[in-house]
Amino acid sequence: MSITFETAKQHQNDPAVLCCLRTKGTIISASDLEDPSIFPDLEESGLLNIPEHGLTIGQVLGATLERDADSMTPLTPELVSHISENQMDELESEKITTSPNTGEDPTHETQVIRFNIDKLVGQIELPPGLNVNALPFATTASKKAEDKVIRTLTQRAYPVDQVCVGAETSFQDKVLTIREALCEESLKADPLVKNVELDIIRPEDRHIYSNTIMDVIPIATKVEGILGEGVTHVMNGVIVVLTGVDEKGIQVHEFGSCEGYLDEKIRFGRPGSPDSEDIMIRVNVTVQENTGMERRGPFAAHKACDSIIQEIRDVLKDAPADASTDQKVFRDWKKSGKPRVILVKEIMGQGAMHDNVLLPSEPAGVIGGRRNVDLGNVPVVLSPNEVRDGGIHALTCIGPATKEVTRHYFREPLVNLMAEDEEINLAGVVFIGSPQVNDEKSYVSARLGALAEALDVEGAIVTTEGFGNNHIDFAGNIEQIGRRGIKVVGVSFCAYQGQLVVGNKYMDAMVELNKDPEGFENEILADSTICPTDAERALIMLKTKMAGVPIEPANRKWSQEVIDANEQLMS
Amino acid sequence: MDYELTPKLLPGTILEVTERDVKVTLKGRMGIIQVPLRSVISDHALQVGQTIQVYLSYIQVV
Repeated sequence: MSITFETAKQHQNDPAVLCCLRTKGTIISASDLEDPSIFPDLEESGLLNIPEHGLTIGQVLGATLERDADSMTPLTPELVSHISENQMDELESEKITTSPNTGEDPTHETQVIRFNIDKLVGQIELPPGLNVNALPFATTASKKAEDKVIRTLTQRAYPVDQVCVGAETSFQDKVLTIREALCEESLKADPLVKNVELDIIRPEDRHIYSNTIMDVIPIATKVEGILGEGVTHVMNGVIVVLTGVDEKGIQVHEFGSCEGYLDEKIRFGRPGSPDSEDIMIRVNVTVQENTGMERRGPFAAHKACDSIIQEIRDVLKDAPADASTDQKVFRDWKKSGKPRVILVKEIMGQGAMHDNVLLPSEPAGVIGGRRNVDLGNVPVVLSPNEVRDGGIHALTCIGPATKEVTRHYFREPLVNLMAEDEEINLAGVVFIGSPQVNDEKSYVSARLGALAEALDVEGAIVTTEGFGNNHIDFAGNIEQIGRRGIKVVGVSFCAYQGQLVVGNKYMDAMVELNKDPEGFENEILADSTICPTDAERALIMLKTKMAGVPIEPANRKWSQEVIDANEQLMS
Repeated sequence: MDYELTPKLLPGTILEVTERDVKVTLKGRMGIIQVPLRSVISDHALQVGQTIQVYLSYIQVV
């Protein structure tokens, strides 16, 4: 396939190869040449052999073909005449024009220096004594830009040392007691829920078999204000793990489920996982047979689990402030004078389990939220504080190692890093669903591009959980942002198994999330999700790109060495 | 839309064997496939739990 002049310019030092049959006397242009980006594949398959004395694209443009030549013929000095050494520079220079001063007074012309400025950033200092009134622009006193806090969120942490089941739900002296009858009552949350069991798993008892892990949910509740501001109470040292199966014994996540021994199936310590010392409250839900593959089945399980957590939230609300051992204050900023950027989180939106609840009433809750599939998967903006206050309840796609569970969003490393960074102004976190079919994907991607344009951002990081057809809209999202002149970095699991199937010229800065030595979705919960080091790589890459520093092209195949080298550079 | 679909060698495990077909789960959330017995190459009798491998890419609707 022939190339454009712009592509030829990018590849002016790459070998020149004919894309099609050309006859003697042809004046060679970009449309006669093959795209150099496919040469490695052609060479690997033996279809192309580029000689050492072959000419470059920059040399052959404008040259004359001396005899008929077939497609895939590398151009050499024997084949062409009138070779230029600096053809691209000459072509480029044709575009540069100068305009003479057209002033009517020829004597005045000699006293004026006239130059055009396309873009000017910074300041110009003029010598003292200059008549400022004669300047063609107004002078203003420098005004120092001030950062402004838009909203504040305080999270009070309450440690939990012991969890037990008893007659009443209570929380006192670091001991959480859960009412025994809660499981039975949670069946009322949805008629599709047929059975709910709850058990407490201490860190030393984790070698225990479990149905597939549907979600990992922090226990947090609003005490003052709404999601994203005010005061939230959070329990530390304890986490809810939702597991699910249907009445026939089929795992809710049958495609790539992670049932098995908990100590083997969880990568502890990831942002979305239980931490190594966490007590796990396991809520195992049995849903009506054959509903595990429909939206209503898994959602019913989440509702039942949430009804149990709500009673715990209610006692956590009453915990006295002085019993809190740690207090974190998060601020949403408006940072004047800093480049505006957005974080785009692509979330699953194909249907059952590929769905999320946005902005529930309680942190990491279900009730009061709206599901992105119901919203048509269009982009929805959350403030960084809304995300950190549990604004996303993940109904969670089915790839254990690459899915982002509710706890992941609660402690999302990229949100935390970008919100606190002094050099950028994180304007918002955009959640965009990934619909099933391509025309819907294009629709929501285009809306994302329009949103980025309207927000007037200079940079964006686009992440996606999972892999599969969501990589098509991942590419589309990056393209829609990039084509508007906004610098963009992509973050995803790809490696061996999740290799991208589409791409575009804006996908030149990508961060790999894989942690599996063989590059597989290894079915260990949260293993290949975004970790703090990944977030740092992504942000540095964005800053580098925004600064105009060229980013080296990616290797043709996944290589852990590239990741190691980049991490070494940061340390 | 142009795709670059490259088959990948994927491991999997046999879930079910009948007199008609075999059901296989593929590593890494790639799904479950069910194929007739004639589509399976094996030196020994098929059994649940056996490890398999298959070159596979995405299913493209054309």
